Amino acid sequence: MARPLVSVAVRAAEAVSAAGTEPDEILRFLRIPPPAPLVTLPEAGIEIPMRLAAAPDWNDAARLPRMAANVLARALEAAGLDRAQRERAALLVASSSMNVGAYEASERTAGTLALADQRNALAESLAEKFGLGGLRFSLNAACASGAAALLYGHRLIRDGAVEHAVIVGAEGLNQLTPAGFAALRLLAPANCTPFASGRQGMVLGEGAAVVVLGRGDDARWLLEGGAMNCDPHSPTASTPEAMSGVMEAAFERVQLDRRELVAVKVHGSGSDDSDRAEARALADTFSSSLPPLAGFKPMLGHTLGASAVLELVALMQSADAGWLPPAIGGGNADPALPMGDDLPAPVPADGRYLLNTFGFGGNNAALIMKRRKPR
Amino acid sequence: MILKVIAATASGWPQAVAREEARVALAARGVRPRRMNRFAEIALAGALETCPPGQQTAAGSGVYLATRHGDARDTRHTVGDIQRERVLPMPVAFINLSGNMAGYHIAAALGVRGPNVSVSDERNPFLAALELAALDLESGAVPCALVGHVEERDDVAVSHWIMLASADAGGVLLTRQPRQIDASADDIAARIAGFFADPRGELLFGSAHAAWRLHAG
Repeated sequence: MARPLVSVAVRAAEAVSAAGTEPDEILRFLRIPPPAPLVTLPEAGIEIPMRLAAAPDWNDAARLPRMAANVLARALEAAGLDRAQRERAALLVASSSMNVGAYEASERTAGTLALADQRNALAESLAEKFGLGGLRFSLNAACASGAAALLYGHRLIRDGAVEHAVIVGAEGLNQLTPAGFAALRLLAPANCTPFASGRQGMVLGEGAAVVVLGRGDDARWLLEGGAMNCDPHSPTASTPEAMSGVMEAAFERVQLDRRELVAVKVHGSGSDDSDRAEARALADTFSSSLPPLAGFKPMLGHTLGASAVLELVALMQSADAGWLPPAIGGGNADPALPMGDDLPAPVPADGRYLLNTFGFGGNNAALIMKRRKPR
Repeated sequence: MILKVIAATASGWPQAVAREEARVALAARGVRPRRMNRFAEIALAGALETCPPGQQTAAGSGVYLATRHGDARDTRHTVGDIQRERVLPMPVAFINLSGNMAGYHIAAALGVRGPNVSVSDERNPFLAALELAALDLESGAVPCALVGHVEERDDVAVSHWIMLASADAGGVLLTRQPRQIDASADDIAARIAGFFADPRGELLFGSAHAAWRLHAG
């Protein structure tokens, strides 16, 4: 006999990023972001714009765990989980760099941390500090890591395996990541302007975000489900077909008519190939009628493994405050992209939202959120 | 929940020769690794053992790569190069450290396009990966799941993989057990491969959160 499916609600959502921590502060930053500060990589020596959550300290091995713990503390308090509920809650930590920054810092100073121990260090420290005793995963699917964590957390609850799932997206300051993207020539010299003419690449970001999921349909926001796929076309770029495919799969899983969508939260990294493929995928998926598009990477930076969770929190906080940032950087879409001339501005409303993430390793994910009328 | 084990293999090599041996195994399958790092080559060599030549893996299959430490050796070398030489990393070296690149290469070799995640856990990463694969199989998100444990230990590199599908009649079955059973075991993936080769009796394994019974159906 099939188990009845349960709804999955967002019980709490908190974050720290370049935009700050408080919703009012975040909204002000999203509306009028300052230029991304230039950061000098300590040994690689190059200077690049980055959206950091705090002033850079390359010798602070505890930076990411501390940042994540602060956000998790707020989220757990907001969710109101008691001790027994925490002991049973699943913990899913999403990151692509997996705290390599701590190892780098250790190598500069005491040299006491083993890199091999850093992969699970964040999940272990958070679980111990907050009494999270249930199923525990650290997930890496490149930029889709956070989306994977949200989807599996959703499924664990929906299938009745757990009552709560604590989803942590965390990407901390490290040198390897920006040095690597600089070597690939994917970084913008100043600002990130997705889908715009003259876009010059990505601006990387730092952040930690926590979404606490729980059973029920009584919250303002519900995670309805979604889909993931892997495109074996190229290690660094998915095809429009694969991107479109994951959106179609998400619509089918959730039984969603795409015309219902209030808005699409784009991936919108600002890199030429990725924006080009994503624009094609959106045009193919929505034919001649693109829904309103919202995007967060110009303001928050690309926070890689944390991005799906961080941008979900930003979406919910912005929408609840009555405003969503348009996806097109600089205001005007590149005419070479099939996005049309007259894209509607995203306007928050109750209804369904599509959140896309497309990453290295062919990892693609599409989530469907529902915003309900408050009761 | 009952899953069927379609295939299960255990590959391992002494660290000193692990990469070379993995390449020999790949060459035997007509695969010449291009632009892969050590960890990915070891992962791929083991994964291909579960898929005999000429046998097609369902296109929507998922890949769930469990690892406690991941590609720490490759990452350490690249980080060390940046810090010592004060240069940017080689682009290919960085790409190989990005996300779940070993899983990508497995997907590319098998032509599969389902979910592809690297799963870590300090105590038992294979159980964690198995849990996610089971969720995807039970929900119908994937027709098959390739679940592996890849680890570069001090003395040996291992790449153990099982192919799972939703259960039909017969074969070697993996049945979910009530959580009261706590019969954890190290190297679970290798023990599953051993049982698959000679399916007598049963094998119990699990944690406080999820337990399984491996048996012939």
